[in-house]
Parts: sequence; C-alpha cells; structure tokens
Amino acid sequence: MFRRGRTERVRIDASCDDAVLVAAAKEGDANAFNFVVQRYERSVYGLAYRMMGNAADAEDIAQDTFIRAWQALRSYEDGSLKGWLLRIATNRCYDRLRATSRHPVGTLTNDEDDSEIPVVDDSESSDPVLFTERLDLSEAIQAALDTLPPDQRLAVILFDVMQHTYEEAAVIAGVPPGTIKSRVSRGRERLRQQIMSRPDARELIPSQRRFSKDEVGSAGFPEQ
Amino acid sequence: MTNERNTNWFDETGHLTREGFDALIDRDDRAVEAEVRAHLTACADCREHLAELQVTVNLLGALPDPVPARSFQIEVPKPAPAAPPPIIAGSPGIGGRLRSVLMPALPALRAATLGVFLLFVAATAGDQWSGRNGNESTRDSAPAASTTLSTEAATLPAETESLEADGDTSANRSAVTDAAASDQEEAAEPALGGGAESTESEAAADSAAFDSAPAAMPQEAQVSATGPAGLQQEAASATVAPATPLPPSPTATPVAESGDDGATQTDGWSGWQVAQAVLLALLGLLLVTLLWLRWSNRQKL
Repeated sequence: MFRRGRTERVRIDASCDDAVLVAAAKEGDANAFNFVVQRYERSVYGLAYRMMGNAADAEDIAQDTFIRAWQALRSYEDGSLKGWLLRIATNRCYDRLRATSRHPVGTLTNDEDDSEIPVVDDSESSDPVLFTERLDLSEAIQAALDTLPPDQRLAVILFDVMQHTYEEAAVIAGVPPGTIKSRVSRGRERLRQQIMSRPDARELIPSQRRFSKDEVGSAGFPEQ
Repeated sequence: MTNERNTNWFDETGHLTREGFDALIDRDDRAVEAEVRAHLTACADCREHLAELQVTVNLLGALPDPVPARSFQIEVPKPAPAAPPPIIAGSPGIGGRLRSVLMPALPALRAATLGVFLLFVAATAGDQWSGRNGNESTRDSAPAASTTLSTEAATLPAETESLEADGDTSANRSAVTDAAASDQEEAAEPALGGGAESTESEAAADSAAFDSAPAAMPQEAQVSATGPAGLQQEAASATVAPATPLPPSPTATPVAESGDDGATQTDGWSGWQVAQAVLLALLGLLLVTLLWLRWSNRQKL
C-alpha cells in the first residue's frame, strides 16, 4: 500500500510511525488505522482489563475504544497517540463502572472463574510451578485492585502496572501530575494493606521478604 | 530544601510518611537517601512497611500483560459495487414518463382495445347491412324506370303499326305531331326544373296515357293512316324519342340519381365507413401502445 504525499511516496505498513499511520487513517485508510490497533490493542485491553477486572468488559471497552477513535480521529492533532487511546479507554471504563454501580450485576471483588484469567505472555510461564504461582498472585493482586476507588485504581494501574510516568498518567487521566502522584501513593498503601492482610497473598510471595538492614540496597536503592 | 523535604517525609512520630516511602520506592530524590537509610536501619516498623510496600509495587509491576482473545481491528465496510444504472434514472425521458403513466392503466388499455375492436366489428357489420339495403333500393328503382320505358317502347310499335296501317292525313299528322310535341315538352319540363316525384308521376301519367292510347288509337289511326310514310317515321321518332336513349333520357336520368343511397355511395363515405376508419385507427394505436409497453417491460427486466 502506497500513499502519495506532497513530495514523496510513503509505504504504509506496521513499521510506520504513529504520525504517518494517523495521517493515512485520517484520509480514510482503514488499514493504516488497523496498524495502530495492532500496535496498541494490548495496552488498551490491559488497561481495560485491570480497571474492570474481567475479560468480557475489557474486550467490549477495547473494541469500543478503537471504534470511537476511528470515528474521532480527525479530532486528534498531536501528542501521544497511545495516551490518546488510553484516555478514550479510561473514559469508557468510567462509563462502564458508573453503569455497573447504578445497575450492579456482580461485585468488583475477585470472584471470577477460571475463564477470566488472562493469558500470561511471559517466557517464565514455561515453568509450570512458577506459572501457577504467578497466576494465583495475579488473581490476588487483581482482587486487591478491584477494591480500590476507580481514581486510585487508574493511577496505580497507569503508574505501577503499566509503568507510565506521572506526567503520562496525568495526561491519560486528565488530572495534574500531583493528583496522580497522590492517588498512586494512597492506592499503594491500600493495596499493601489489602495484599498483606490476606495470608494467602503473603504466601504467594515466598521469594519476597521484608526488607532488612542488609536488603535495602538489594531492593533497588543505589548504594552511596 | 533538604530539611523541608525531610520534614514532609517524616511524621511527628519520627516515622516515614507515605510520601517518604514513595520517594524511596520511586527514587525521585536521592538527596535524602542517607537520612532515610539511617532511619530504616533504626526503625523496624518503617523497614517492614517499606518492604511490604516495595513488594506490593513489585508485584504490580510484575503483573502479566493480559492478552486479548481477539483482535480489535475495525472492519470498514467496503463501498458497495456500483449498481447498474437503472433504466429510468434521473430524467426518465419521454418514453420513461409515458411508460410510467401508461403502465398503471394497462388493464384499462387492454379493455379499451377489446371494446374498440368490438365497435369496429359492429361498424363493419352495419356498413355491410346498409350497403346491401342500398343496393336493393337502387335495383328496385332502376327496373321500375326501365319497365316504364319498355312499356313505352312496347306501345310504340303498336302505335306505329296502327299509323302505318291506317294511312296518313295532314290533319292527323298535325294532330299527332302536336300531341307528340306536347308530350315532349311536358316530359322535358321536369328534367329542367322538376323533382323526381313529379317526373315519376308525370312518367306514370304518360305511361297511363300510352296504356290508354290503344283504345283511342283506332279513331286516330283512321285519320293518320292516310298520311305519307315519311310522316310515319317522323311521328314515330317524335313519340319514341323520349324513350329510346335510356341513360341520357330526361325521364331516366333523374330516376337513376334520385336514390338516397345511390348518390352517397358513389360520391363519398357513409357514416358507417367513417366510423370504421376512426375505429380502425384507434384500434391500431391501442395495439401499438400495448405492444410497445410489453416490449419495454421485457427490456426493463
């Protein structure tokens, strides 16, 4: 697929950067937009899954996110395309959570069956024992996340789970970076209480122990 | 600067605040690390709290990426292939407009065609019937005239014979001549200005006069028999003249032209024929219209 620009001919494929793909998609090239979808669908789905706690809602939100993005593509001008998509997904998650709170059909606590367990894409999954431990751990952490208020949940997911910076998370959440930082701090504290108050959660982390005087440096703090 | 932050990272009890733990975990301010490390070495609670928090954050960061069971690529409907242009597209044209008007009236057109055909058949039958009646009336009138004329012609020989037999005299000759002249004048008058009826009545009167003539003839023949032979022919020609030339006869010609049907049949169309012509034209127009509609429907399909 080729697209003629003002001065040169650009071949549209998965290796093109976001600006090229968006420019082509704005001209109606659905294939170019689908390259964008391929690039960011796991991020969008991951955010939706962590926010909603189940795969069904996450799929609906992800699909709705990309459809709305395609429809509103002309309103996107510059900035992070991924952040723009995650912002749309965040709004869809809030809408779904509000609808669920008005018409509750279940609980946000961890009572999903095995079908709700996400597929783990990790090279360590080749170890069955470690794979099972990590699945159990993931369920426990997701259950803890589900107990957080949506704002704190979103901040923790964006910053600690998805490893965005405060500034990026602030853009996605539509709040100042300081607000995100505060929400992350409160969310972490609540998660710590949630996870460490559950004996099974503590048992799921046998390799992790409390910091000792000698372990501070090994935990990631640089030695002076 | 460092002291202000330290005051934010330690609460009034001397333990690390939430912001202090976050700063350690996020490593956003290494300038306070020595002071924090010193506190952690001395404070087991803060050390345990930091360990739990760090484990929590590590677990959050170690969560696997959920993989969607399907792709979310959009499917933009392809533009439908260009539909074949409709037969009646945009401006339908004269044919299209005419068809759109006539198609709803197709059953009425068929009924009208059948009705016109029946009318045409009726007009044809009426024309034939009236034509037969006209011929019959013409044939009836013409023999009547010829019969009258033949009667006159048949009486003349007898008169001629009586004249020849009785001889000729000047008195008789003049009387016969005067009578013939008067007959000729009386017969010529209707031909100049009289109608057919008066001509017929006078012809009938003449015929009656001729019919009664044989009875009176002996007396006249006695007088005219003394006349010369030339006078016989003269008298005969004078009396036969009105009857011999049939077509140009002043008495026969009005009879031939006096018939009502005979005059119109030879010079113009009768009412039946006009009706036939009009109905035939209308029938043709209707048939052409029906055939065209049928053809256009096949083309449309």
